[in-house]
Amino acid sequence: MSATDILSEATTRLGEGTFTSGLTIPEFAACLHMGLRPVALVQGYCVMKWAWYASGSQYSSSSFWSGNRSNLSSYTCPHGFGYRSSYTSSGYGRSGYQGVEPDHRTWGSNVDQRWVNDAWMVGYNAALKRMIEEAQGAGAHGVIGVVDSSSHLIDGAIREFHMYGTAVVVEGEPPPPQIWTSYLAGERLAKLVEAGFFPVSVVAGLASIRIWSVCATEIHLEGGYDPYGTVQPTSEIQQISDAEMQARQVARDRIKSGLGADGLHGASFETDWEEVGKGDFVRSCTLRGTRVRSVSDAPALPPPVPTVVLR
Amino acid sequence: MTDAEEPATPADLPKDAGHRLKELRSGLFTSDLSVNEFLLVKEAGFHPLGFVMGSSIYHTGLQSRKWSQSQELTKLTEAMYNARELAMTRMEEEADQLGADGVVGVRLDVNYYEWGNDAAEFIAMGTAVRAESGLSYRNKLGKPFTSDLSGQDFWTIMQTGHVPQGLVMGTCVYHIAHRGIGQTLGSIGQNVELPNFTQALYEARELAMTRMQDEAEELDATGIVGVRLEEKSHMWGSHTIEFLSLGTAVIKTTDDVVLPKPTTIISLDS
Repeated sequence: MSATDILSEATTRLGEGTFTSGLTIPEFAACLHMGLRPVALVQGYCVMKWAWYASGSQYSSSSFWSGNRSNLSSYTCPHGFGYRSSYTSSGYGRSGYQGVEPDHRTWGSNVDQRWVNDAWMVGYNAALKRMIEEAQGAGAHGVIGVVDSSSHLIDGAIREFHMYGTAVVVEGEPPPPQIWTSYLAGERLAKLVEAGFFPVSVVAGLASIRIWSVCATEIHLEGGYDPYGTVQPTSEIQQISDAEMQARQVARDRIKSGLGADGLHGASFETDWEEVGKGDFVRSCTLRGTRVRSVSDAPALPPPVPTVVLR
Repeated sequence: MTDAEEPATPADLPKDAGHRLKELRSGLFTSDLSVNEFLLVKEAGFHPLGFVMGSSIYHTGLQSRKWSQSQELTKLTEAMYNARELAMTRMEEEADQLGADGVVGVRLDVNYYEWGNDAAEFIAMGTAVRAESGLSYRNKLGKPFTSDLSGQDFWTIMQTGHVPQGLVMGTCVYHIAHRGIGQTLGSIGQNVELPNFTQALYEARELAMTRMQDEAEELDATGIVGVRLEEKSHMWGSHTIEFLSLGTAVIKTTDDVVLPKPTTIISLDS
């Protein structure tokens, strides 16, 4: 697509007189109350060819080896097996490098698949850019109540990134130099502004950790019984714990690195677990939130009133 | 009310509807509103008259599509639109029979049955309401307004000085091209954008939303609130998708609105 991605259909739609709002009715009311006027439901999309093994993966580049690996390469098999240099089908010895079953994994690794994040960010940012262009076309100042998702389209090899929100004009204000965007709307946005903050942009980061299980992890995942009696049936699965921590840490670091002096508000983690093959998993973690900037000192909040709500 | 005063039941409503609506006209009301919704609809100055519905069983047929080309399937688009429109019209006719000003909490469903290949039942249902003030809230076309707003949402939108005019919708059934072997091989092992796909789906959604807006313009609406974009493949397989855009068209009746000042509360829910 060209430099300005929005379609002629969108230009026609946004040029019509009626406003459209994708907000819920309470959000709509809160929005009017704050002096925001909804202009149009704006949207952006990006369809991508999607593969877990992509450019930059271990099959096509050496960048894999410089990735953020955990130190499992120094893993010692609790059964005393070393790396099997040659396998013979006779016997299961406990000594030496021979006699181990071929699937007894004395090696393993947790790898941050950076290329997955890179590709994900391409899709996310393209959808965001297009949504902002639609908002520009509608003469808006900001976009609130943003929702983004991505889903497999047709089959697993094609993934579509979606983003939509409601473009608004701040009544009586000149257009800002840049259109701001926010996941928040309604009550939560009102509270944020009341507390002296203003949204800057929606932000997101992804971490995709590939887990190649070591033998102890496999034993745990397959039912917790170790034929050699070394791995305790009830104990922490260290490698998976590490992957969980690593996924969240990496996603958080990626967002933090772009925040500058601003804060992240209303953050939410979304995690996913996928089994690629035997002993081969992907733990992914998406962190989303609204980048907010402090613009004034917050006045003291009024004392809260206990209420019974009829929903 | 005597028989002579009763409006004639429209020809496309079943005879049983006439009996049921007659009972409702005598004062009994039925409603699928929850208790809280009922209270808020009353608070907004409206009284429920009866649960109304409309249905249409439609043969959606097939349309030839090109394997490798993304395109709108106009016949299917028209079918999906007309079927819903018929169901909605019948629901409006039932509401009209009750002398309603509008229908709130409208739901549109599609059901498929084993006995009907390519046939689907489209149903619209909601609760007909009338203003207690005696003022008419009918829309520009003289019909009862329809709205998918809940009782709570209905009260809230009235507080903001907006009045519902109609449930508006737009649809677009789209066929997404299959990728040729050459194209597939060309991008193997790469995470890259597929601009043709992006554009095709984008266009389908914009078409659905534009059609929805056109309906709102016919009602002279100021805007559309609570817009939703739904995507379904129905029974067509993964390459054919219906994009349906729905929302409630509203007009702004007054600028002179005083919204209650927000208060910090402690909810007594756990």
